[in-house]
Amino acid sequence: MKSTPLDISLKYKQFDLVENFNQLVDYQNDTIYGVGISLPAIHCSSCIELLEDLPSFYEGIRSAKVNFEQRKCTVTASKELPLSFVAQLLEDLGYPPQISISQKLKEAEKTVNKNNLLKLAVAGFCFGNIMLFSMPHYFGLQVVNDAFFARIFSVLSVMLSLPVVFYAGRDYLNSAYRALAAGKSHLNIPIAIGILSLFGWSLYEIFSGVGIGYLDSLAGLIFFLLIGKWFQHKVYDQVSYTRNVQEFIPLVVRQLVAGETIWSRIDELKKGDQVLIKNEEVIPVNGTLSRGYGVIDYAFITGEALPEQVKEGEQVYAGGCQKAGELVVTLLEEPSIDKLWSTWSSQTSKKAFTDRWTDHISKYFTLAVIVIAVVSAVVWSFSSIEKALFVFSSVLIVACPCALALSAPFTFGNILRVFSRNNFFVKEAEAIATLSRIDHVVLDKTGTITENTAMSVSYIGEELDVATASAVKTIASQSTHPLSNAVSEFLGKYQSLHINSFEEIPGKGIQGEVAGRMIRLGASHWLRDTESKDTAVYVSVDGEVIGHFKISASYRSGLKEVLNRLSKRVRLSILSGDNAGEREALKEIFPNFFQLKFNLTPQQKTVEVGKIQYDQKVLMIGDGLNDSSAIEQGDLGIAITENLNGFYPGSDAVLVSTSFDKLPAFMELAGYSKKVLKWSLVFSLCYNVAGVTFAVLGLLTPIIAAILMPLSSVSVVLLDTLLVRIKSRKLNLI
Amino acid sequence: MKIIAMLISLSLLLALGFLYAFYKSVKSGQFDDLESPAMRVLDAKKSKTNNQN
Amino acid sequence: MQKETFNYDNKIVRNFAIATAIWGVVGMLVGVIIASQLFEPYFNFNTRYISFGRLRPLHTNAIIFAFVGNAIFMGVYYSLQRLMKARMFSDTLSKIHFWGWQLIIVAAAITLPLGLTSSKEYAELEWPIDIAITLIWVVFGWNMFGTIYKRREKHLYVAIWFYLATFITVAMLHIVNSFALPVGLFKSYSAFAGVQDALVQWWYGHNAVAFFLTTPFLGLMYYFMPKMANRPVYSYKLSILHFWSLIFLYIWAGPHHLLYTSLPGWAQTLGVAFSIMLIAPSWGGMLNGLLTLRGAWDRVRDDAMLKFMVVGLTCYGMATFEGPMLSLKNVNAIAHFTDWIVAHVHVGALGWNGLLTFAILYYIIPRIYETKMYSKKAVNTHFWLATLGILFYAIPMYFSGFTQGMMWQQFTVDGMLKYPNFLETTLAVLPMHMLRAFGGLLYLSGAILMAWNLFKTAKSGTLLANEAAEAYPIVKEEKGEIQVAYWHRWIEKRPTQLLIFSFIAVAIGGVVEFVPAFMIESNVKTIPSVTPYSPLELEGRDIYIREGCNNCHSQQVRPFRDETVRYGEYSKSGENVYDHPFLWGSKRTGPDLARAGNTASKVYKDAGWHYQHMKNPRSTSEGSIMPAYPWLIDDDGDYGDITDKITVMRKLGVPYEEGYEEYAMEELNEQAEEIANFLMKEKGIKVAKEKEIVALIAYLHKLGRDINTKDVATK
Repeated sequence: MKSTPLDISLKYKQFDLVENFNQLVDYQNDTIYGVGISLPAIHCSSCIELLEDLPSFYEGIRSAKVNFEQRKCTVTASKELPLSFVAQLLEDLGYPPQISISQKLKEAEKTVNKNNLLKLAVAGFCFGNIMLFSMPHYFGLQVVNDAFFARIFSVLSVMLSLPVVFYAGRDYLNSAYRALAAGKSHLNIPIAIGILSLFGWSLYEIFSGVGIGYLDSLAGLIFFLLIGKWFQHKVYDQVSYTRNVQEFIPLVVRQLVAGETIWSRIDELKKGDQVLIKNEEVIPVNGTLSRGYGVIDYAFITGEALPEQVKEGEQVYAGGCQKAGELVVTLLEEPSIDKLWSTWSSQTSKKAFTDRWTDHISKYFTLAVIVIAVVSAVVWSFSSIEKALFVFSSVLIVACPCALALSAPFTFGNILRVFSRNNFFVKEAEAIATLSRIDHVVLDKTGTITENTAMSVSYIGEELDVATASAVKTIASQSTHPLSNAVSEFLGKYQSLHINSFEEIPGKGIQGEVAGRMIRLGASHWLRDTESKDTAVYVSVDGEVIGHFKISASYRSGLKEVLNRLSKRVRLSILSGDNAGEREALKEIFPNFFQLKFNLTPQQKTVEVGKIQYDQKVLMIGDGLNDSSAIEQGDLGIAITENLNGFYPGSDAVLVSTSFDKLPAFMELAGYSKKVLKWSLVFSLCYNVAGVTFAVLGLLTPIIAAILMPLSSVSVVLLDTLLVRIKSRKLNLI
Repeated sequence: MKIIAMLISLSLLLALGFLYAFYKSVKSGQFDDLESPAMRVLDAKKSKTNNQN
Repeated sequence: MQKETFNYDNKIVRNFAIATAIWGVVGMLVGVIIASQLFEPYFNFNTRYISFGRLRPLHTNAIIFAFVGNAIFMGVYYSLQRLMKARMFSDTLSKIHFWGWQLIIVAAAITLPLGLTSSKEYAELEWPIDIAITLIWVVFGWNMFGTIYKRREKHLYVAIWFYLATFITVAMLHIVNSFALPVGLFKSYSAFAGVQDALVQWWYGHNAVAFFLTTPFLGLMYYFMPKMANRPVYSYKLSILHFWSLIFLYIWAGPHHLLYTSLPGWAQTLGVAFSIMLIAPSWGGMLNGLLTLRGAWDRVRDDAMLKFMVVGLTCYGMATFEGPMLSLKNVNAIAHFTDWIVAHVHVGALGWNGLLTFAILYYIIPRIYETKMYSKKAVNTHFWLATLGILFYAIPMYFSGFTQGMMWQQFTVDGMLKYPNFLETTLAVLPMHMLRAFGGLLYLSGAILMAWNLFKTAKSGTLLANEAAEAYPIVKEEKGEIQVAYWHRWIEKRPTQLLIFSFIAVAIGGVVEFVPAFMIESNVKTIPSVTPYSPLELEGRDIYIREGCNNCHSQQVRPFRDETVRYGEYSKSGENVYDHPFLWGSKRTGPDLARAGNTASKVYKDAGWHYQHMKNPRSTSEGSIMPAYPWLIDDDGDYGDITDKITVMRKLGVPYEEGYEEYAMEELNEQAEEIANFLMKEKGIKVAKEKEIVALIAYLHKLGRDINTKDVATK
């Protein structure tokens, strides 16, 4: 039994805060709690063995159960063992946990989908069996005349249709009722009418002995609708990148009080308090650097790829991540969490996926159906009341817009799938529609159209001979600093030599002795005593500066092509927070920018976007926190990223950088969706027309209904899926 | 031939019983994880404690 | 949290394993004997106890209940404990289960050769043994459910689902099909009659195949295949899907055993449709099993155990493809009643059940005895013997079945039957029967080799009667309410209640309406001229059942031209309303007898012929393989129970007048005397009227006698 206390990292400490804890755990009582923790590092059966054996090693852990499929481990522990401990333990074992509140909310949605699956299973089961009993009628076989069996099968069909209507189909009925009660129009209204007519009329037919009813069509209808719903959910589940600002900014810090370290909540700190920040930790508050050397990565705030070197006495800002040793920061002001969050968080609209477009249509649809039903009934009543009733309900039965209800989820669902397979994660289907209407694309520079990882290096100065170059490379490769890496890679073809001494001086650079010479690589102010405007790493050999490496970000491959293709559909602008050094380079890549502005603050960017929006629909593409409010301002906002573990407030979609060159294709596919929907609509209306014709003429027999309805649903789904796939293939997206 | 009615009813009853079992098991989470059970079967660690005969 | 320690019971597994091996050899031996009888009647040894008609049910019961049954229990007891990480619920129940089951088998081994049989296929055992089966089955279920209840592994692995489905379905099938009224200690009459009985029988029969021979083995496969190959099941998702679709579809396929009979056409069509659909889930299972070996196929080369599994699964695939094909009406028209069906059965039984059982035995025995297999070579040899055995069995039978089926249908250019003498068709396939017997012999020797090998293995090690294990107990979680889902609960309650109530209401209505109709209908005569059996005929019928004549002779003429020419009018459902049980049969090693009592039919033979034929079939039919029944000539019939029989029949709905049983004996003697006189006067055969042959002749002459072409009324 291990009992040594773990060195718990800052980022887990906030889980112990009561309000977080309560939201994170699945359940708890006075003594224990249970929590499902996502562990992406789970990869094999030994992982299961190892993790499930945890209870043997830690007294407080009662059980650990692995769900391999979801890469999740559900842990029950005694409350004496804090959640942060469990999290740190898992990280130490090699399974860094991903715990977040937004993740928990996503999981709640998954339960709903499980229920949908159950409904689908029940509907499918009943559908199959009801069809079994209706089969003899399809084949016109002898049993039609055998009253006994006809009766039995009818009764059994009624019994089987009960769970279909009252359980599987219940959501449609409920939602239609609510919409009606609120006086709104909703696609589920005509669907509910269809369901109830089918059910009611079939009951009448069966119990009065007039016929066998349409229960197979009823079950089939609900079955297909549920498939559509299931598919929709399945697609959305794949899009899983939502994160919350809380997961980024820590809420607790190590406070230095009289030389001791204690854990404190941020909002309890005051001006003048001192906090201890360790390597790879995020600075939660604005303050002055009192002790230590700051190498602070502000990528998320300003978009700058290169860390800033901060000396004692200089200011540090909340949101930066320390990349070197420990820092002590003295607070300049009382931190306000609200203020922090308000800068970055945003309300993302959780629109349920009922396309407003289809809801709109449903109003007219319902009206038309009722009118036709009433009119035909009146006309028929001159010949026979019985017939009139039959025709009335036939029209209501067959005019169900289920095909319509399926076309939107399947069209958009398929498109979303294609997108996500290409590493373009769109939050909701509405976004696709917006994407198809964009007039103007605004791009950020750093990190959006430039690569974060690769940097382009050039050398200016005295020519380097092999010996010197090798020596420089040797020194450079000793450090893990991104600038050193860039230099070392630039000099990759040279051999590394033996090194006699090496020293890394934070805030200045690196130095070492190679082959009898003292090589120094570092900042201009250290080696030349002057500041430099550009990002440069100066080289000095034995005290004499011989040149410098100019390091700049390189543009994404294919940028020219992408911009050219985009310009065929939309106007292009670039708004950058960086200096204007790249203006000419950019103009060369693409001469026709509508706007090319530099040195903009995040607020200024937002304002510019707003100006363009006066008469155009704008797509804003940016990266990191510094673009977040501009992204939110745009009609559509895309955050571009290297990986999916970041934090993208306000964006409607996330594009992984490797797929940047597919952006024109994405826009084209999005535009295509309009066409597909239109054709779908036409297609499904044809079925409706055919069906209504049969109904109005009093010819709607159960077998015709049984054929028409599944046929219409299936063919619309197939049509939409095929069209989207074919187009995607043409665009080389799949 | 009415025996068919009885047989169909019995079979249907049985099938419904299975449907109920399916329902309950989905609800209680039996089918949440469809990958680790296949691997747990292979968990062939030799037991460390003494064996009784 | 500490792990709990406990033990797996290996003793019970060993017991079932031994029983499996022994009964397997016994059952296969009986199989080889009857296979030999089918080309050389000498092997009946003129002894009633081992004549084909009595021995064949012994073979089927021994293989199904003794061999396969014990194998199932062996596999379930082994895997259930380990999957649930718990010892069997009760050692006492385990013991009762084991010994009870063996006693049942012994009872079968005694009663069947004695001719104490119900004649219903795979359900021949008489009512006391049926009751015993039910009790032991309940014990099994109790033990199984108890173990699941106290498990330490929350998830029910897919194999467990198969075991559960098996348990429940077999229970229902067995009980329903065993509905009968006893007439004596080991004699009863089926509660159903004629076509109804046929339907129930084949609803049982087909589902017995599904839920006794297939589902438990699929469960075992899903456990043992991954263990043997040391890789996880190819797709666990597929296995779940496969399980659910299989059990839902299988139940509806029963009517494919009754194609072209008097079962209503629409029911036949439904059966065919579902049988075809069954291919998909069945093959899902096969593929899942085979693909588990993906990337490990080289191991199959060295490991004989895996070889058994692979071939076994392949045979399963073949059989589950062939089955649906045989359900197609046009294929069925040729195959029904022939050896083709026998071939199909044995590909499944020898291939799927047999090979898998062997593999599992080879897996379990070394492990529970903590030793290595005594002879790896012998295992390999066994594999080849078994596989060759299957080939030598199945291929000749395909030929035989197809040949015979086609020969029956052949007409000459003048429109006459090409092979008017049924015997010709049987003789034509005797060489194939010989090959089949050889195949069976190969298979049997493999099994004997296995038994020896397992014995030696056991001796070389020591039984680990209680295998230690440890696992965490299941933590009872106290679920708190998640705020998000609360509203969900509220809405759920109402419709569910409504649903349940409406369900009950309709169900009650249905029951009220249908049950009386069902009860009454069985009294309705549909063909006016059809009368119940006379007392003598009833006794004769029971002799027919006792000797197992229905194992070779069918009584159901199909509406095909060749059959109506050969036998007479095709069979109508109304003819069999008094047949408790039905005797349609499922194989024609000999001709159909439905019209044996109809003088207009070609199959009619007079009493003298029957006398000679029963005494020695070869005296009237040269080359016949039918066993001789000399004891029917020698023995007096034991008709003391005729009054009971009449009473029971009346209870079951046969319209015997009240009080008829009082003078039943008189009528019996009268009719017997008539026949005895006929034999004396017309044929010069002296036989006392008390002899059993007289009753049998009376019965045979009743078959189809009541059908008059003028009188035939369809239902």
